[in-house]
Amino acid sequence: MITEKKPTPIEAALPDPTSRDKPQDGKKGDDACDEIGAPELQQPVTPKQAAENLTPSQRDDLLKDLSSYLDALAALTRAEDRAAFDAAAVKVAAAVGALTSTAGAAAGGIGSGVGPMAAASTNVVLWLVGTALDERRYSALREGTWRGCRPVRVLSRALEFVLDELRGNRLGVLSSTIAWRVHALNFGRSIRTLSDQAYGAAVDDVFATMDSYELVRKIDPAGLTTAIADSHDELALAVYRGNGQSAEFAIALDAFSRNVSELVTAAHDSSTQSASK
Amino acid sequence: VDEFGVIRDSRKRVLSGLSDALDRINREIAATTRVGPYLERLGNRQQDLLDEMRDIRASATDHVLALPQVIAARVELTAIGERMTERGRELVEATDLLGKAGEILAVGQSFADLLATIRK
Repeated sequence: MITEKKPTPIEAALPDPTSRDKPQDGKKGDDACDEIGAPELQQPVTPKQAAENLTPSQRDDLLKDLSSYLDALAALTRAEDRAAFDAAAVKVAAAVGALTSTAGAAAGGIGSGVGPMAAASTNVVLWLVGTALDERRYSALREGTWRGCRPVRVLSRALEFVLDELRGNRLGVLSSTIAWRVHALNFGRSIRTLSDQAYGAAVDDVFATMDSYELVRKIDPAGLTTAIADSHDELALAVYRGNGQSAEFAIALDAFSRNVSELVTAAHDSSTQSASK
Repeated sequence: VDEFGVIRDSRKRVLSGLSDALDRINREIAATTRVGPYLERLGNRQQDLLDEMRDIRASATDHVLALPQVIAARVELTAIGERMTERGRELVEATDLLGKAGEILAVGQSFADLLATIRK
């Protein structure tokens, strides 16, 4: 008889997320917003006022807000030589895509969605290399990241709950699916209705579901969303300290973009690693 | 008071007990080699637990999304994004360059589309 392998409990086995609730040292956390003198959030006076400014909160709206902001950051930059940029971007994107696909395959299919994300991220760096931002663009970027410092930090914490909800729900479905598949296997075997071939296929299904469970279980909502907040701090600091032409700025924007991409990938994995009873 | 931490701790405490119960039910289902009323009751209890856990997670997220600072952050970030996008439009030299920017960094839309698909 097949006995169910004990999966790691759903509500355990990740780093303690409460660490992000404690005061943080160095340039991370609100210290970064303090350093650049970012304005405090002005909370809506009444719920009615908030409702007038915002559509009802949906889970996907939250990341859409963040990504719209990211798009706006990109809209403020420009390439001086479009043709050269496009040609270089295609070559490097293809190389990075091939590399990440290979890495994903080596990891048993994990990360199959990362290739396009990594390619997009690489494009950002290419886009900015050799690009001198003029004073007006740089001024607008500086104001945007200055104003966005505290909102991004708050929204990243809210996003942790959204991702955790997706992850927890998916783990619940997967753990139950494992149980029913093991039961079906044992039942079929006990009444001798399964051929050896069917039995082998059913065992493979159980292990495939366990693999999906492990993939989703390893997603760390607090870690991913903290990375978004921290990388935006780095971006705001780079813009604050630099002049728009430094490599630090390009690296910071790339890191912020990459962290948002990783969050999207994680949300995708949490939502699609499915199996049925 | 850190409201995020309070909500997270409350959620964790409640879910912990339910998670253990679900784990026990799943083991019993897996180990049961007969079909019948007992297995059916186990299945019903399993579904009840899954529903309860789903409701608790949704409730925690709803509370977080309704926090005044989260609403304020969304309002502010939306306004900043709109201002920056408008400024970018004013400054851009070639109109299709904005399209390129969107193409490169439009991860947000892909996520929104993904969730919309899942909910259908």
